[in-house]
Order: sequence, then C-alpha cells, then structure tokens
Amino acid sequence: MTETIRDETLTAYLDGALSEAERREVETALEQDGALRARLQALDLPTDALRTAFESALELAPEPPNVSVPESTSGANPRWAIAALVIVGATLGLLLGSLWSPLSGSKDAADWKLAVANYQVLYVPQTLAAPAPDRLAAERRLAELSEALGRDLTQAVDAQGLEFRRAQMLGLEGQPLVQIAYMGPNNSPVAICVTPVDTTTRAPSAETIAGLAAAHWVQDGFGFLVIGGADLDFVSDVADDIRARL
Amino acid sequence: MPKLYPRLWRFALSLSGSRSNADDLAQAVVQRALEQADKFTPGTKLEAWLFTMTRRVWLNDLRAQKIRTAGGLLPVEDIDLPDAGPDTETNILARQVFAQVMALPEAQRATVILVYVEGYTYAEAAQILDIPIGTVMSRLASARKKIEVATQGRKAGTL
Repeated sequence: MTETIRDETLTAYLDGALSEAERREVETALEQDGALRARLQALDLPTDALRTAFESALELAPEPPNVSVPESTSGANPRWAIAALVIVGATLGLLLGSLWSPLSGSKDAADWKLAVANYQVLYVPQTLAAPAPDRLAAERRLAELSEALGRDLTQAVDAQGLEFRRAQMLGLEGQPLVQIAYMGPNNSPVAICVTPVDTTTRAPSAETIAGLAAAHWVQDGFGFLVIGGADLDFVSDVADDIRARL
Repeated sequence: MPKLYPRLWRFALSLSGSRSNADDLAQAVVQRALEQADKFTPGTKLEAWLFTMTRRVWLNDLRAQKIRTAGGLLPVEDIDLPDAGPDTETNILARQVFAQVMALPEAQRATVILVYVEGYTYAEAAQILDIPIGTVMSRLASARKKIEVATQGRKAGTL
C-alpha cells in the first residue's frame, strides 16, 4: 500500500538508490496512486541548477594555506622536509600524496585513461579498415564482452555519430578493460572504453589526453572513456548519449 | 575534475555556513591531515578520508569555538555567487537554489553537498558523516521538501 512508501523511499527512488525490485514496486504504486505522484512531485529538486551553483561556489575558495610542517615526535624526519619543499603551489591532494609515496595506494583514475590514450593515439583509419560487422554480430560480441566485464554494454552498438567496427577485451592492472572501436566523423577512429574503478560516481568531464579529445565519467563503479579525434564537443555529445543508455 | 582543496573548502562552507569559518575549517583540516598522515591507509580513498576529517574537525573542535565567539549563534552568511554571466533562466535558478541550500539546517546542508554535489552514494555519505544510511535519506528528503517549496512558488509566478 502506498501509505507505506515514505518520502525517504521516494527520495531514494529519485536518486537512483533503490534496488531493481524496490524501484519496480515504487513505479507500480506511482502508476496507481495520484496522491503518491503528487508527493513525488513535491520532492522534485533542480539538481542541475544545484550543481551549477555549487560549481561556481568553488571559485570563492582561497588558495591552499602555507602550512607549518609539524614537528616529528620521533626526531628529525626527512619526509617532512621533503613535504615542506613540495607544499608551495601544490593542491592538497598532491601534497598529501607526497607524504607517503608517489605511488599513492588509491587507484588514480588518470592512470587508466592515460594508458588507453597512449594506445588509442596509435589508431589510424587503416587500423579499422576491415568492413563493419552486421548489427547482430556486433550485438553478440558486445554481449560476450558485457558478460566478462560485468556491465551491460550492448546498447553501445548504436552510438551517436559513430559506426561500430570491433570490440576487444584488454586488461589493466588485473582488471578487465573493454575497448569498443568505432569509425567517427571525418574518418577518425574513436573508442569507448569501460573498466572497473575505485570511485562510485563521477560527473562527466572533457579534457585532452595524449593529444586526443576525451570525455570521462564514472557510474556504479565503472569508469567510462570516449576518446578520439580533436573535437571536445563531439566526444562530450557522444558521452551524454552513451551515458544515458549504458 | 576540480582541485581537491576548493572542494574541501566548499564542504567546509556547507558545514560552517560562512566563508571565514570555511577558511578556518579548511586550514585546520590541512594541518590535521599533515599531522595524521601516518594514519591514512594507502589503498583506501584519500578524498573520503579528508571529507571525514573535515566533518570531525568541525564537530569536535571548531564548531563550539565558533559558536562561543559569535555569542551563542552560528550565523549563516548571505553569500553572492561569483558573476556567472548574463541573467539567464539557468543562472537565476542556480542562485536561488544556492541560497535555499545555504538556508537549510547545517546537517541537511552538508548531506546535500556530499550526495548531490560531490556525488557520493548514500553509503559513502553515511560513512563520511558517521550517521546511519536512514538518516542520510531523511536529511535528503527534508532538504528536497524545503527547496521544492521555494522553486514551486517561483514556477507558479508567486515570487
């Protein structure tokens, strides 16, 4: 009964935080109950405007402080001297990263994207010269790779502005990395790559990596990368299209 | 991806309600993080560790001190966002939503920033704030109801 669906559950529904079964339950209830639909409406939040606003709030932040390096209780510690040297101009993340080792334990999303970019930069049109497979074969291939990866990628057979050519399973640091290769506009190879990452979610952003236009986001613990060519707007558009469907 | 320090400062702003308090809080967190760098376990999430520390330093140290110096209150500053350009529909709405979020009670404000701005899951936010997931959900639900009221009014042309 819909009396038992609380605002907290509706909030979780709006935030995509419900299980598949719970989500279906809420949707069924919403179909049948106008009052519940009204309550859902009352919980509506302009999240885009919220993010835009708080993104510009970042500009209000001051520069990271010049810190006094704390005295080590165990006597002279060269690590602190090194840290003091790298403090000036460093972001906090880099600063702390220098305190234990350059190979900070947390897996940096930049690592895998750079590895992919260094491989993608080798692609020329001739690399994808073999004729495009038919749709059924492409879907089967994506289904196989989806199984191995643990994420459904079959929708990627259609990608706005891109023609599917092939897909392969690569590996990076013991993790599966699926690369889907397309021919993009102006005969430029474009790839969509997916691999498990440490973060759960990251909003889409575009940048140039190894000279290639790239758009990146994280969803449900998977990092996605659209990379190829020189047009940041194009890869961003592809990213928006794919992200809505994968 | 925006740099980490401004993001920590922004979270500090959501906790403390004013820019000068956020400055003090973020600075204190940097100092504390350096002192406690040994306690960070490589392989776990640096950012979540720092956000957690920001919450701790605020609640355990700075908050009481700030309330005392402010004479028993914690004023919320009326902050103007940097000029985002023309007064488009988007920008006007963004400024309104910002003001409404900053007008939320401290606990709801901080939860909104972690989940809707930083993109943490309910579980991650619960860990950073050291509260049950149910509390995360009820804070977000309350925030949604409060913010909705004002924008509904705007949509209906009553503002």
